Amino acid sequence: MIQTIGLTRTYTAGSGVWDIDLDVPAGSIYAFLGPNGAGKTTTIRLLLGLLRPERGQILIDGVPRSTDPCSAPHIGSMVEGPSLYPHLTGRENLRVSALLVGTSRAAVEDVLRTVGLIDAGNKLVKQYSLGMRQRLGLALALLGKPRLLILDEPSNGLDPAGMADMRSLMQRLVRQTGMTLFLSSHLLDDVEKVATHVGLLHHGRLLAQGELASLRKPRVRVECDDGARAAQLLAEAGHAVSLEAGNRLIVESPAAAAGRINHALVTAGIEVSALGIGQDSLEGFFAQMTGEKEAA
Amino acid sequence: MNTWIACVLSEHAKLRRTLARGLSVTAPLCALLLSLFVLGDVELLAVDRGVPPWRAYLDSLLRIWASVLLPIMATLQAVLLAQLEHGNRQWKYLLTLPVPRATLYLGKTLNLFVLVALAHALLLPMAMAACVVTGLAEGNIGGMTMFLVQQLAASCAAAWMLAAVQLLIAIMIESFVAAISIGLLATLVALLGASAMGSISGYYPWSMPLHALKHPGAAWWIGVLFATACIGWLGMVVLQRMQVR
Repeated sequence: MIQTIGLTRTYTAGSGVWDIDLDVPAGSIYAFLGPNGAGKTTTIRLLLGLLRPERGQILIDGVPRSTDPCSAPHIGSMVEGPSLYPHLTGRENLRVSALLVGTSRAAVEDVLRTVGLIDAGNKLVKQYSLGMRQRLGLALALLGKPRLLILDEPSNGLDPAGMADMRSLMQRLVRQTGMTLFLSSHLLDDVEKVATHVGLLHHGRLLAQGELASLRKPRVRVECDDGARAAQLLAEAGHAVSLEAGNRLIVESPAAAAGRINHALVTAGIEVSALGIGQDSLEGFFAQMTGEKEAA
Repeated sequence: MNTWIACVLSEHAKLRRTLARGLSVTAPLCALLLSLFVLGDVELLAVDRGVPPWRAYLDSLLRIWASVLLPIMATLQAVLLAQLEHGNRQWKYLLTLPVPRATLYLGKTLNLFVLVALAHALLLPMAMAACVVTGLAEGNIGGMTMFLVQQLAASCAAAWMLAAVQLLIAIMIESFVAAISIGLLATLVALLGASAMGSISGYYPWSMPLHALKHPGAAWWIGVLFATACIGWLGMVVLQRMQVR
């Protein structure tokens, strides 16, 4: 759905993005991750035609993107918080945009219902809570039934309940409409729960991208009575092991290796009190990727 | 629906509950209130200029309107219209919609023109009512109406040029204070320096509404029309090239 080739845009202060090669499959929830200032918003503005790239190409659904939004398929978007007119009601805000997008009044009611604001539609936006504004921003992005939705930090400023609401809303939308969702965030835990694909951005460069499951390394967690000896034993057997507090070990191995690890430890006379399998967290993966980059 | 009609209607819908729209009512009302101060001298003015009292009064009212209140009103309205987008960070949404940017600008410009025209349309009955209530009309309703319609139409058409310039400035300059200051300063220059500028004042946008009341020739009007079109085109180019950082 989105493809960029060597996308580059720099600012005079030295910041920017360089050689971004995005590949966002249709129907995916693509989380574009990186710390504040990594270049996520700049990339999104380039994708939306709000900024002109210095180099590179953007293809949306195979169509080259220029600054003219009429030249590409309609993209629903919310960049750095919702763009709303506070002196208008929620419904009026949507009607203003519906005229430009070319959708009917019925479509306005539809999106209000989708984001759960049908009863608050006649309230002035300046009386809305932050969560309601975010949802109205999402409703604006949904007008015109875009096949691609780009959301920049959609959970910003929301409390945990609001973040959970936003997550389930996004998942429901993708499930029901089959649209592609491209969302940026610096909250790794939050997007880990919804994303199918991720792209990691650091200092303006794309470090890695792909299916979430394939990027996270499988691991085996072990708790035993002698962590140091167990770590040495497993390291000698060729495993990547990290020793944590309380005789806990993290072994980077597929789940299938758990039995062999257990056997090796027990045979060496080490008492294993707990054994678990799982995957590296996105945070761990990100820390590893950025650490490798810094070291390089 | 045609895209540009949709843009005009969308811009119109944004104006609900805005000060920009309210100014189209309050500005002519202010002009009317200020003109009441000259009522005491109307007879003298009429004799001095050799015109009927109603004409002397309306000349004063129109001068107050075209030289002070109209430029200030147009400045404020243009800046408020632009601030709807600057202030609410709307450009980053508006410019991603599948609408040509030139059409968006055109929609905004036409709505500003309508607001300016609305103020003139309201000033017409207000001025006539003032003449009737104060007894200045003296049965000259027909002549008075014709005079007012001609003068207000001229003032309105010239003010569109001023409004177009102000809108371009307000779109280019994000700061509310800076955009307002430029308009107010330019109005002050027009007020204080009109005589010093001589015939050039007719080509200074903030003096144009006043100049339009002095029955300029067709060449001047063609020039104004051409300049307004050029300013509008420039605004479209500015918006077309705008990047949202």
